[in-house]
Amino acid sequence: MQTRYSPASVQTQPLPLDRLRLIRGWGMVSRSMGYVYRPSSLDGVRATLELAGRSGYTVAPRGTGYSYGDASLNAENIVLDLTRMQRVLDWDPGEGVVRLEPGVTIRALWENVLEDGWWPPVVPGAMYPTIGGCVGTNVHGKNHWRAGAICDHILGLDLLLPSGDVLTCGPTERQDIFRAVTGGLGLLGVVTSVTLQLKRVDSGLLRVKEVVATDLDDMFDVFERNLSADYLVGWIDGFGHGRHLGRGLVQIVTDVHDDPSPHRTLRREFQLLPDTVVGIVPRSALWRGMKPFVNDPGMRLLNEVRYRLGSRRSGSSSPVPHAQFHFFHDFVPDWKRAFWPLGIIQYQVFVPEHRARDVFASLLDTSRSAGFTPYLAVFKRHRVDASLLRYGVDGYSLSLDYHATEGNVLGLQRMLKRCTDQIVLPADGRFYPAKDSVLSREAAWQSFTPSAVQRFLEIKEELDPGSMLQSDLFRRLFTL
Amino acid sequence: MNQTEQQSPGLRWRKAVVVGASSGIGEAIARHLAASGTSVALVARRTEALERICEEINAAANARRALAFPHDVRHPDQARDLLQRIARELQGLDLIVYAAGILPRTGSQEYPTDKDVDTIATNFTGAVAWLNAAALRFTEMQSGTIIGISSVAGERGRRGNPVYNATKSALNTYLEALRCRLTSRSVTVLTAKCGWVRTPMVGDARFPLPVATAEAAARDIVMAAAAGRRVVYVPAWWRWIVVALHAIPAPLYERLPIP
Repeated sequence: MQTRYSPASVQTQPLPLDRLRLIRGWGMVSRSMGYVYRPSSLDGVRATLELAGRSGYTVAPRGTGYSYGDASLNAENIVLDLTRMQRVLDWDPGEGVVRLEPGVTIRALWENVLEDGWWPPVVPGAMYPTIGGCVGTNVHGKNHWRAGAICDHILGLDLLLPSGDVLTCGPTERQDIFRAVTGGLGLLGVVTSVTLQLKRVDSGLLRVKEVVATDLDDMFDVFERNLSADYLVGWIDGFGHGRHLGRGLVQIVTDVHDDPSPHRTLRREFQLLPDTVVGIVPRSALWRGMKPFVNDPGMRLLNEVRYRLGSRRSGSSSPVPHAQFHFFHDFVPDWKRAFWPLGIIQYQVFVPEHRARDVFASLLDTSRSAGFTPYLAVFKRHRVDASLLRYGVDGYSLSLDYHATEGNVLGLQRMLKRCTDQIVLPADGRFYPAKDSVLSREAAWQSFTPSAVQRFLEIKEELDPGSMLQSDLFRRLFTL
Repeated sequence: MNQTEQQSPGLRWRKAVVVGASSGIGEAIARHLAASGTSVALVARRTEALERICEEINAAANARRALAFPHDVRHPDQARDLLQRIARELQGLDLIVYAAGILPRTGSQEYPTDKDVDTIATNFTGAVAWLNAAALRFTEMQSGTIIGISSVAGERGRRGNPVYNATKSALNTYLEALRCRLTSRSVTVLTAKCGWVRTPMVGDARFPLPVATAEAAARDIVMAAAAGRRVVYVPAWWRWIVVALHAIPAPLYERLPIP
C-alpha cells in the first residue's frame, strides 16, 4: 500500500496562503478553509478556472453564503466568490425583464426595480442571497404553490464551463441543461448572467392578515381555505405539545391593488426599516438583547408571548411593505451572533400533501422527546418544481431551526438522521440542499431519486469532465 | 458537517500532523490518534521508520489513515509550505503536535557548540517554524489545538546538558506566549512537560524513580489536550518534584549533583 506522500497528488503550484480563509455556511456550523478568489469580471472568472486547472484544485462557486450548510464550502480548495460581479446588465421597465450578473443580491434587485412597479416573482426569506445562489439552489418563497420556484421565471442564463466555453440555456433552449443548472448547486458551470421576468406590482404594500391556528390540524385547515392568497406562511410554536402541538400563526397575504399613493409606497426608502426601534434603540444593537433568551426557557417565553399576542389579534389585517413582510430574517441585524460560538442547524422537509400532517406531528414529537426543541418552525405550501435535482413536492414543508452548541450538536445530528431515515424518507419526503447539513449520501440519492442523480452526474460528465466544480456538499452527497 | 464527520461523528480531531513521528512520544501519539480515527500526517527525518509506521497504522485500521512526509526540521524554511501541503492532502487540519527533539550525550566539561546548534535547531527553531505556521492557520480557523512536547528539563538549568535545558525552557516560554495570543481565538495550546519517559531518546539510562512508557505518555497528553488544559506533567506526580526544584535556593542548587 502506498503510504509515501506522492508527488503526483501535489498541485504543481501551491496557492498563496493569504487567500486561505475560514468559510462558513449560514448556520455557521458547517465550516472549512478555502482559498478565496473574488474576480469582478468574466475574464477574472475564466482566469480563476484556468488557475485551478493548472494547479490541480477544485472550485466551488459562492455568493453571499446564505446556504445553511456546506453547499458553497470547498475544504482546502478554491472558493470562487462572485459577489463582486454585481452589475445590472440590462433593465426593461416596460416588460419587467432584467438581466443580472450572478453577484447581484435580491436587495439590489428590488431596490433597482420597485419604483418602476416590479417585484421579484420569487424571493427567499432574506434579501442578501445573490441571484447566482438563487439559481443554484432553485430558491422558493412564501408563494411556491402558486408561483413556482425561481427557475419558472428565468428566461435564460449564461453558463461558463471549466473549458472556458460559454453556454446559453433557458426554458426553451437546451432545456435539459437548464433544468440541471437550476438547483444544480454550481456544480455544472459558473452562471455569468441571468435574465429574469419580474412580477408587476401596483403598490409597495401588501395586505397581511394574521390568524391563529390552535393546533397542527388547524394550521393545515387555514392554509387549505386560503390557497387563493398571494403568499402564505405559517409560524409554529415549537414548544407546543399535546393538544397544542403545531399551534401557531398564519400570515395570509395579498398584493394591494387599490393603493391611493403608489408612488410613495413604491420608493425604496418606504420599504426599509428605520435604524432605531422605539425611536432610540439602534437596531444593530438588538441582537445583544436577544442573547439572554437563546435557551429553552427564554425561547419558550418568546414563543408563548408571540402566540398569545397573535391569538388576541387573530383576524386583524394591516398594510405592510413588501420588504418588511418577506425579509423577516433581516429585521434584527447580526441576530446570528446571539447563537455563537457554534450556530444553527436548520432541518427542512418537504412532504406530499396526504402524508404531511402525520410526518410533521411525528417530527415535532420525536424532536421534543429527544430533548431538542426547534426555536423556530416555519410551515409553507409547495408544488413540484421543474428542476432536475428536485426538492419540491405537491404538499407542505416544515423547517425547524435548532440552536447547535458544542455540547448538543452530535446528538442533534444523530436525531435528525433518525428522523430522515425513519419518518421522512418512508413518506416520500424530500430535502433541500440549500438548508441541508445532515443528509447521508444514501438519503440524498433517495430524496432526489437515483435516476435524477444519475442523469445529473451524466450531464456533469459532459459539461465538467474533469470534475473541477466541487464543494464539500458535492463530496458528501454525490461521490463515493 | 463534511463527509468525514458523517463517517466518524464525535471525533475530537479529524486531521492531525505529528512532527517527529518516527520514534518515541511522537510515534506513540501518532499511533494513538490514528487508532481513535483521526487522519494523521507523520513528519520525520528517518524515512524508512516513518513509512513502516504508516504501513502498520493503515493495515491495522484497514484504511488510508496515515500519510508519510519525510522532512528534516533543521530546515525551518520548509515548514510553512509543507504544512500547507499537508492540510491540502488531508483536506483540513485541526491538530499539530511538535514532538521532534534530540538529547545528545554531553560530557560535564564539554562545550560542543556544533552539537548545541543542532539541538537548538531541532528542539526549538523547528518548533517555532512549524508552530508559527500552525498558529497562523488556527487563528483564521478560530479553532485548533497545538501540542508542544517539552520537558521538566526546562524548569531550571542543570549541569548535564545546558543547551537541552535552554531549548526546553525556550519552548515553554514560546508556548506560553502563543497561549496569550491564541486563547481568545479558541485555540488550545498544551505544553507537555515530560519527566522520565522510556523512549529511544533517553536510551538505556537508569532512573531512580519510575519511568512512564511512551504509550502511557501519549494517552495522558492527548487526554489533556482534549480537555483544553494548558500544561500537563507526564507522569502527573512530576508536578510536585518541579515545585520542590523551584524552591531550592541558587547557592545550594548549583552544588547538587543533578545531571
